[in-house]
Amino acid sequence: MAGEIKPFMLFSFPRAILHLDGDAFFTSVEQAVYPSLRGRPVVTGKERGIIACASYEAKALGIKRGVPLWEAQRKCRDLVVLPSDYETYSLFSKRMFEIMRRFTPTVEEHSIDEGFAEISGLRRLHRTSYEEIARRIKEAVQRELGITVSVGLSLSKSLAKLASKYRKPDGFTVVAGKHVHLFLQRTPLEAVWGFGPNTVHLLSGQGLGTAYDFAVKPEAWAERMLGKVGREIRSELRGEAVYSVTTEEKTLYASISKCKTFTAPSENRDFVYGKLVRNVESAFIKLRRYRLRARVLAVALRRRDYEQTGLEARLNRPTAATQEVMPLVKALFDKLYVPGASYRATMVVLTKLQEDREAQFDLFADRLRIEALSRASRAIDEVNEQFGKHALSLGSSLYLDRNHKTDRDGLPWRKTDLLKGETGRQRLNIPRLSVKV
Amino acid sequence: MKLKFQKDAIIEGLQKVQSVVSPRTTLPILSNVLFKADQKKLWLSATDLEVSVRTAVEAQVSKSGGTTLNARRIFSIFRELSGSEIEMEADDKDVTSITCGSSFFKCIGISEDDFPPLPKFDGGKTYTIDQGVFRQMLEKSSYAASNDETRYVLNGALLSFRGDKLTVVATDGRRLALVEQDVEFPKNAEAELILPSKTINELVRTLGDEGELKIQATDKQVAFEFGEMLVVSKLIEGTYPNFKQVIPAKSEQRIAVEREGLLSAVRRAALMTTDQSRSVKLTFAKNRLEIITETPDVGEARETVPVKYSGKEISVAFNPEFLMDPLRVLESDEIFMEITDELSPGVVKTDVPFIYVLMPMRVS
Repeated sequence: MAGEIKPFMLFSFPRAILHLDGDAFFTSVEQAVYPSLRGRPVVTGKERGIIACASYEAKALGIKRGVPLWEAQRKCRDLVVLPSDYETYSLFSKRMFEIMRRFTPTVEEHSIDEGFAEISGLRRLHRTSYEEIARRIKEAVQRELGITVSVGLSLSKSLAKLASKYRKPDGFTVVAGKHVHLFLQRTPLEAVWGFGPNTVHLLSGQGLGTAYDFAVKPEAWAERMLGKVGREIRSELRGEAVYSVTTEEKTLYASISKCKTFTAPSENRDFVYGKLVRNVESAFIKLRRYRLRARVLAVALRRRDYEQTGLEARLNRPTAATQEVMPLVKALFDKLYVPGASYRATMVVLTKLQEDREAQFDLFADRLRIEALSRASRAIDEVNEQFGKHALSLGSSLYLDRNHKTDRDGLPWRKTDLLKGETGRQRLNIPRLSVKV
Repeated sequence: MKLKFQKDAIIEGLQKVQSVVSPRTTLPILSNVLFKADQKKLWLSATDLEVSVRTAVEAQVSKSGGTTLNARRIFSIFRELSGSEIEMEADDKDVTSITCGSSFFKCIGISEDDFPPLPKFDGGKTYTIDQGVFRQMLEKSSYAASNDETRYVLNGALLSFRGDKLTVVATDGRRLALVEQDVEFPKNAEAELILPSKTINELVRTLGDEGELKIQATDKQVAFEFGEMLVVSKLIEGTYPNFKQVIPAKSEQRIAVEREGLLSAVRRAALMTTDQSRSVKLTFAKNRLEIITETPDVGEARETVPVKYSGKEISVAFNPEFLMDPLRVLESDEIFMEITDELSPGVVKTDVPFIYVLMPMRVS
């Protein structure tokens, strides 16, 4: 039988890390911008035909993320369906992190709608408890942005993340060191950050049911079952922080990928290829912006039924010139494309990136041609700098208008209702509320 | 099979063959060495199906026969034995007993019938060259070969037998090394072979300083016979790039540089390079060569090497590793650098027919 249940530690907060998670972030932002939508079931993702985010009112009706729109609309006739307005979401996101940084400089932007903050040692500065600091952060975000967030406060990133999920929406959960063992007993394995379905299967096969069962296993056991990650997660769950809150903004990319789903799936070869080329162009624009070169290029096509095929190719030399890889992209596309199949997305991934500070010339390559192509890329960047992204692009983009329009093509209000001086590409960098004054 | 041999002799023999045995293989027999005893000798063979190696060890054979044993294990056993004479006996179930002083081992092997036979050679072209000369030619060129599997033609060295000359060329597309040697062979034996890097390494390790080397080649494979050694290798099939077109016909400036001095200066300057910033800049000015590395966030290095030079000032950047490679293997005290400008290839030459072409780097 299991022995006596003892706490992992007697301290409350040897470290204090909080996790802040926006509740149904995209729809919350929409409801903040259009106050008239408050209290109504709202979903975003009109442009894809699949729900990207559902408000809590919609969730109450059983409408979840990932569900096709037609299915959701059958469940709820008054459903408000909006196209995603990533521009406004990211503006809200930026503000959210700025508010967190007013309390502590150690803030990690984990994704658009969630972040970690380390508040260890800040009690003296704010003259109050960790719990109160966390509560103030939550209240400041909610008051200033008009959205609700859930906050978890605990001793490690893994525990804080579990705590913020524990009560949602508008949750506030504090798990002190001496209570960790009680909290973990109420936490199922699948809730743990880093445990996917396979891991959960593996562990439940070993007779484990809760996160607590895992945390009390010996360290060597965790390592044997799940390797280094297993050992780390075990320590995190026991309140010994392994993962630190990292503040650096990502500047060094390991890979650059571009994936775009089309508004309606297409069987038109030229259109699908045009979409792929557009993704390649966008990826290379980003590559050049960060002064990088790519050595490996992968291309994938996704069919209407989500069946996906891809191919990877290694380049003879790393490059940042779009046109240098186009023959290769064409060859990969020709191998992947099945005539008659209906495609919904194309993607390109550039990996093995290196800095474009210096280049080793090649003995057998046509150097004049390579120089010409990189000059062409630079020229394209300069033109587009002035006239907008993709103003100057490869010829295959002429086919991009060939896909028939659907009712999904609606643009977010932010892009249709422009202020004086705003353009399709450049708009004022502040969120706008849709309220009549 | 029953025989006796000296520990030193078997260790030396196994060292010559076991490097061919790949540590991970799907066929268990390829992890083994074939032991085959005839009247006077013990023959040892190993293969990875690309390269096969056979050598012989002096032995007192009381009963001929053969078996195969795991290469790594048997080598470790022989190495650790404390006596100097080893007795070995294999029964017909391929269980081998090894006795040496107070030690006794029993090793379970695999039948010699399962061991892939050495490729047969019928006809082909034959060449004869001095072992030491051939080894030096490989040493002076093979480091320039590519290990990028997507450029498989470059994963070895080209042996070009043409016009009474053997030319060995290796390149990875960024630098190219070439050595030439007069060799006599009949006109109809002119041929071009691309020898895989693994075979080159095996040859460089086992070729002696003197004695004759017999090379026999067909379209797909080549055999090297020297002393008791036989190395048989597949050739890389494909067309080697036209290396002659990338050797500059002439360069603007030819500067004599003391080899050791240049090597150590470049080695020091290279200490300030990083993975992201891998170039050193060479500036030829009046009677001096400056080698400069400047790496953001790391620092800089400045080396000066005295040279006899009175031409115009030229700067060119190279990957220091590529520049050091030939300097390490050459023997002459003085080398010649031929430079044109910062975009043209640099050339390293010596008195003997050796050419090394190195593409510069663009530094922004």
